[in-house]
Amino acid sequence: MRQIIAHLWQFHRPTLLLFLSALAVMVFFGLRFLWAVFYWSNPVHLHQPPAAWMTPRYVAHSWQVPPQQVAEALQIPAGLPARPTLQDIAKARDLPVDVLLAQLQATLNALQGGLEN
Amino acid sequence: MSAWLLQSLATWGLPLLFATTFASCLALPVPASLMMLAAGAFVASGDLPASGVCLAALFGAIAGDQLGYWLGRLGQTQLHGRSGKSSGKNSGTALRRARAILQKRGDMGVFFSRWLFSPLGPYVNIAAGALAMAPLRFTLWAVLGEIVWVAAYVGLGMGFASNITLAAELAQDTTGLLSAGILALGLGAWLYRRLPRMMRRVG
Repeated sequence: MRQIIAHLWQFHRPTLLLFLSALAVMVFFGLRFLWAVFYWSNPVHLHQPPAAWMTPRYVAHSWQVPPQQVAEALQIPAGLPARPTLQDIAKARDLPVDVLLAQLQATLNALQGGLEN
Repeated sequence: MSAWLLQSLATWGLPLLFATTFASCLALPVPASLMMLAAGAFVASGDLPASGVCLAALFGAIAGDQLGYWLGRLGQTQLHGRSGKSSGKNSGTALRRARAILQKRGDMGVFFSRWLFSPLGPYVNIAAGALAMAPLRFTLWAVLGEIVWVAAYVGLGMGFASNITLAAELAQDTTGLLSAGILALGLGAWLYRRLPRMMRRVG
């Protein structure tokens, strides 16, 4: 093995270095993959915190709560487009989007607590 | 830009998805994979239709590939017209060698640069056009590759709809692992072939 490495190091150094870098990159992504699986297998991290781009239905889907309850909590004003985002709803309700997101998060926590009990 | 596109996905839906994959095939910096994941998540939540999402993403990508290819082809015709006068014999040799590689490995190059090595895709399109790869052959492998690309990302978005941040991370890690693995395999084989015969068995 040492002989082989010495030979390659002497005659094909750039390719050998490239090969070793590719191996290092493989290890990096492999570890990241394992870390992601480990991190996301924790139920606390399973659902996606509400963000401005999401639709109410998507939030309901992600948190596995009934869509009507999300819609009620958001008090969606009439006259919005077919697929309003949380940003659209905040704008129509004259609320900063962060406030709406925080309120929704609190509702979701409460709903989930209710569903689990 | 990336945040704005994601923010507009629910509002503009399929046309925006089409425009994103189209732009990404021309090397414009748009988050096409994230948009497909999010569109897949919207399919799961019932906000967007599955067939529409797949077709919009697929046709955007195919159209982008074709534009890149034909731009390369057009550029090549002009280059060809000029090169006769100014450049010497070397550029002709290089071009011939590039063509030979394309003849031998072009199909796989086009196919894998759609989804596995997708950052290379736009340049492969232009190169394939410039080196006059047969249009039908290019289109066949490009379409097959784009089908894999779109199906993988939209499918992942649907499957991991409850958390597309997770889906994005898994996709990134998997493509990173696969492309580095293929590169390592290729380089490893190249190095192995250059070992003196007596050393080969030991490794």
